[in-house]
Amino acid sequence: MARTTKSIRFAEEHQELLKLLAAFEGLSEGELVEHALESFVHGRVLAYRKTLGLSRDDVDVRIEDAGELVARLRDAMVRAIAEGAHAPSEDEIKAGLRERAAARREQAVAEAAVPA
Amino acid sequence: MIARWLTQRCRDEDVPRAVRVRPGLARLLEEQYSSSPLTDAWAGRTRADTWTWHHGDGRGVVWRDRDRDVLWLLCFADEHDGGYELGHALVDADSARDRLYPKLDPTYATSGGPTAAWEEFVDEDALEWLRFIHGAAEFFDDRQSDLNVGEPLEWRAAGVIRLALEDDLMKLTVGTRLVYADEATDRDRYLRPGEIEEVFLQLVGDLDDDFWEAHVPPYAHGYVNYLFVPPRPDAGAWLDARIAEIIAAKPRRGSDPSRV
Repeated sequence: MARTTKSIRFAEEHQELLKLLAAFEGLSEGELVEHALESFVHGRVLAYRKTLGLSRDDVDVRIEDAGELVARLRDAMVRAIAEGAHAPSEDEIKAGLRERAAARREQAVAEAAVPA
Repeated sequence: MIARWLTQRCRDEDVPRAVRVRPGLARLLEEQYSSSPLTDAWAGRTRADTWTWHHGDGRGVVWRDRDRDVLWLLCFADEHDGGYELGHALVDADSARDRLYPKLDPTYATSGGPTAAWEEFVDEDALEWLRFIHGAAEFFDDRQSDLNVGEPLEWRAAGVIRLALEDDLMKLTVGTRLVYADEATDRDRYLRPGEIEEVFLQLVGDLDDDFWEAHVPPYAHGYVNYLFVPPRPDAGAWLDARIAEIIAAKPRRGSDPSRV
């Protein structure tokens, strides 16, 4: 696998943790971040699925094969971000569900009001 | 242990050959289990609390009789006294060991249980899955009064399923890890995302796709939350109806338990 340099800024205590953990695990810092990213994506992919327009089969990958999932998500994520989408927060999800439920109730009332 | 002897193998391969015992078994089931439909041959096979087993030429069925709080073991065979012999074979000759079924499980070993690795017996995995869902539904049914006063319900078997009210919404949380307490072949594993979603959909039934969303907090590891709008205005009424469906072993439309 080709690796390139990526400079990112993050808290000092986490930089120290990264060095310690990489030494402890016997991995390079890059490998450790790669594993962490794959694990993060795998753990959250069900929350992304609908927003990214993926099927259940698309995301049905064992945690041991999380790397495959990252590859499958990449294009969908690029498209979603280009369309202004983002991973919704819990509050946004609740608001969306309530909005749709209210719309359904209004529709039911409207349909009931129409004479047969 | 008996849970590993599943109905599907008996139904498909063995029961059609045991012609003579079928009427007797049906009568026995009718006497002991008055709510059995019986109009649908072997309808009980998909019930999560009912199991069949087979041994040699004999066939049997076991289920937990919740009304009487006993476990029924029925032995029957297409040969004279065969059922009795099977019944005796179920019990260890050494009564001090007080253990059932040592002769029935070809993988039996004193050092462990009979459970096998996942995907070794796919039909068994599927029924175990149904049993998991069924157990959760019954648990939620039993404790629904707690839910109504705002207490979350948490069902723990090999995995964890939690149900809570969130104002006008409901939240179902599914643990992503299956951990087995027995000493059998190590079956502990993580559920795949598709399986996690299947747990949710099997429990909630035909929920409109617009009315549920998965949510995983960034700090969360090991569980997935599902927020959803109960299909009826009254969450309690919906839960009652859905649980009744599950307990009657009515699968979700389009679902295929063998898939998992």
